[in-house]
Amino acid sequence: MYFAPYMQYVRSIGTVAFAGILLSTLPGCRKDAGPARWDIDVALPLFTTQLTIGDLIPDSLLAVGADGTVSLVYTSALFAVDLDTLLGLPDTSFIYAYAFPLPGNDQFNLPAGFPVISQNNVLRFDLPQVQLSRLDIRSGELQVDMRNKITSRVLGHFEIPSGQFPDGVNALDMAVDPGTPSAPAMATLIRDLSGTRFDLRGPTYNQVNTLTTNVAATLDPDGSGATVTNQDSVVVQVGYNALITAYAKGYFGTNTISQEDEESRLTLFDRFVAGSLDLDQVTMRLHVENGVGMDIQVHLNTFQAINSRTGVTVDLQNALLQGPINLNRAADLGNGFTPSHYLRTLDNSNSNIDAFVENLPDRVRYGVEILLNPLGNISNGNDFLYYESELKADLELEVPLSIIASGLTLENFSRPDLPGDAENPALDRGTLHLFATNGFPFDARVVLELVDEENTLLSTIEVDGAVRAGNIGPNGLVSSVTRSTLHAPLDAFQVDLLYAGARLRTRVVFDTDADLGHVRVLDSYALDLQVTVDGNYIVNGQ
Amino acid sequence: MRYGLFLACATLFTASSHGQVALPPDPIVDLNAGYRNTITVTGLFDHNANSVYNELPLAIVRGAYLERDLRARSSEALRAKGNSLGEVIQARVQWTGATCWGARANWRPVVSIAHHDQIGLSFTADQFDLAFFGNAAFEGRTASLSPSGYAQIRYQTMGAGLQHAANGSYLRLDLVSGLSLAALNVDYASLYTGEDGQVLRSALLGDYVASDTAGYDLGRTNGLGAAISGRWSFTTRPAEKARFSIGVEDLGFVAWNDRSVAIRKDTLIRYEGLRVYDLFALDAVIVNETTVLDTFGLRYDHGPVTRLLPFRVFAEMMIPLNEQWRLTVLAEHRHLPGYLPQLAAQASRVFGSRTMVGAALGYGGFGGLRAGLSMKRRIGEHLLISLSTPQVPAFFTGRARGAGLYVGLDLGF
Repeated sequence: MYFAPYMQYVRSIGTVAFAGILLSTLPGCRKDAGPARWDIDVALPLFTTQLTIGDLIPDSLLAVGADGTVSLVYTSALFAVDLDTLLGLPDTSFIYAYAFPLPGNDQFNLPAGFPVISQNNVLRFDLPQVQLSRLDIRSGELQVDMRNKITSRVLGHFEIPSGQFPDGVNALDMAVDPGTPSAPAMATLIRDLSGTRFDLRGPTYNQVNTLTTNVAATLDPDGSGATVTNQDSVVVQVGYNALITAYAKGYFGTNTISQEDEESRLTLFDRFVAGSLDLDQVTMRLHVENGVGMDIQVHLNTFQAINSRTGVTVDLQNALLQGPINLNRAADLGNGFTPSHYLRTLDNSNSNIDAFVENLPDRVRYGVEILLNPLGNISNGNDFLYYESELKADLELEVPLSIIASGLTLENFSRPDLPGDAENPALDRGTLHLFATNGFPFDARVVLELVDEENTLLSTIEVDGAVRAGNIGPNGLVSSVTRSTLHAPLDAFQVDLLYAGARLRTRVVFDTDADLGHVRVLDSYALDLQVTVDGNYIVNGQ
Repeated sequence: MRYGLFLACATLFTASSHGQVALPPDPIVDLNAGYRNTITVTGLFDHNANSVYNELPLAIVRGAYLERDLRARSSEALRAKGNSLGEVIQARVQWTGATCWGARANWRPVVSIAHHDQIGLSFTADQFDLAFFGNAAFEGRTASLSPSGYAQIRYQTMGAGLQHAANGSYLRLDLVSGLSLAALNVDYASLYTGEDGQVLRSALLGDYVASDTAGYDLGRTNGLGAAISGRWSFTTRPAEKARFSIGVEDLGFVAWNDRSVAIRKDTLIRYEGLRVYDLFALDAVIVNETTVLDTFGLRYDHGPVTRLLPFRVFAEMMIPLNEQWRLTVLAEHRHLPGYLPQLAAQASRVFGSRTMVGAALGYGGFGGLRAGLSMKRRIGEHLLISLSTPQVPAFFTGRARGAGLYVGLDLGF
């Protein structure tokens, strides 16, 4: 934006565009030199805008009190432990095979309907430390492969007596065509296990992680039987793949999950690139939610505010870091759960949270140790979790905007869209004027710099003047606005830099009056800005 | 003799259309009137202005960089209001045949085709300064932009008619092909520029029409129309030597097609810049021609437009002083913005049997006082060449106002 459209506007002031008219009068006589060019001095308003606290801080982070005072409320996830960490189910396969134990070249005839396989088995899932008595599947599949070397069609039957598919059945039937030892026939059946429930207590209902299965294979009763040798066999392979838990119950074991030097991004202060902020009051709430049906103990070992720009790290000091956070187990409602919650509030009175926040961190670093079932199997095998269950911790920061700002700097990059290009610049030089009507209790200085893609400073545009703070009344609030004018001349060299692709770095440096101490910010405060330009423009320059 | 008069009148007919006094007919210098066919080819360029020096439009045509001094010289010469500038570019080919009717032997058929490109512009000194120096010099005050107007029309005619060989009277009907039109009329306009450009405030009462903006090439027809041209030449008494003529050229219209655009504004505009809602996302603000047009409410209406052609009316008196000398006085007016009635007088003399030379003074039209020269010379018996300029000083200095050249060829066979 900026200049180019306005220059078009200048040229399109139809009633005054004598030049364009004159140019257009002699098209047949014009030579290849192109249209005539000349410079004009323009004075144009570029844009107006209003800056409110909502522009500095997103509305979603603002809370406005009844008296108009503004608080910043920022929520960020700290850590989370989800289902995969708590209970991961491995892919599991079982093979049921039957070969005919005949010596040498013996052979014999099997009649139609002969049962080649009939096995009742138990399948044990390999789940270290976890003892599941029930497992509901959210997604996954059961794959049954049959390989037949007998010269008869073979019918297979697979049954899970302790399981139930969503349609109420628990058996699968399939068939495999006749084969030979040199060319066995193959058949595969895949069953979606979504919604399937498994009772993992085994055939006697006193085991864990155990699934009862029956496998049978018979020669086709409608066939003519088969002559078999010791080379003939029937193999059934059953696989449980990509199982995702919808619900699990049992004892999940005692375990420790450590997360050391984990970092969480904090974007709240990203726009501030310099300066300091003194906050009157800061409140931070640590909220931990346990959606898992087991007792959990959390040790928060470290909690640091890191400012990558300054390199300063502030350690949080609070009793929170001295002792464990004990989290009760969630409550199982049968078709869902009610998580347990833990809330700890930190403020200026019980911590150094103000210094923590005043560090303007862009990251927080923490070390946490999570103990699962620290007291062992006190639920007698009634731990549970749902697919939605997780252990998570959030930070909620509440900062009433009563502040002292010293050189607090906002930064923004833009690339002005100038008329013409580097070879044919239509703008030669100019002066930007900024007219400010300030209702904020901050002074503001504007720093304009031209930088390259690597932010290397190419040139500084001198800005004459500053935005003065609104007038503060006896109640500490802004009683009237102030008006200020700033001028920023761009010389030909700087304009050339812009045409060459330089970026405009705009920094606004805020300061409050130190004598006033903390100043409150109201929702109604605003800064009205108008930017105009005096420029030397080349008509038909581009 | 009658044929001579006829051909003289034919020449007069074409020459008189270029806004300067044509050399009068002469039976000795002009082609023999006995030819059954006469082809006349003419070309005219006539530029005139009452305040802007020629050096400025010349530099614009050349595509040069316009130095401030160059612009300032014309600016200093401007009147506060009533500045004008215009051009006429015209090319014509005409065939004149032999007598058609025995009873009316003086009337001859004529067929002609012509191309016209005419521009008229009236403007204020503030408009000129805004265009050539910008609005910065107007900070804190109001620029007066009216009354002003502009018209540029490009059209072609093809027509037929009759011409009287004895007195030069004629009547011709033309079919008109409209190529392009742009016409602006500003009844009232002003522009106030605030200090440091804080505000632009404009009052505007005016209208603008234009033909289809998709193209202006010569082969494109954006409108159709018709026109009539005629001249009545007479004397007050049969023996009177002074001859009077009155006439009109291209009195007609063009109905421009429904892709034409028009806008009429009677409005006050106050502009303090585009409203930006996120100061930190200036790059994302889309400002283009559409935004600007919407901001200022400059959207066109589309639809057919009918406009008069830039017709010309004239009255002329030619007085033979003796066998060699003649005095011609011409008054004329064109229907173009900025054009004032023009008055011109020319004295001409015959040299030998082949050459006539004239000197003219003119005042009015788009400009002020002009001094021109004309000559025509017969080469052999079949070819007559005419050459004239309405402003001789233009060939010697860029500080003159107005320039032009007329070239005519008459071929009889």
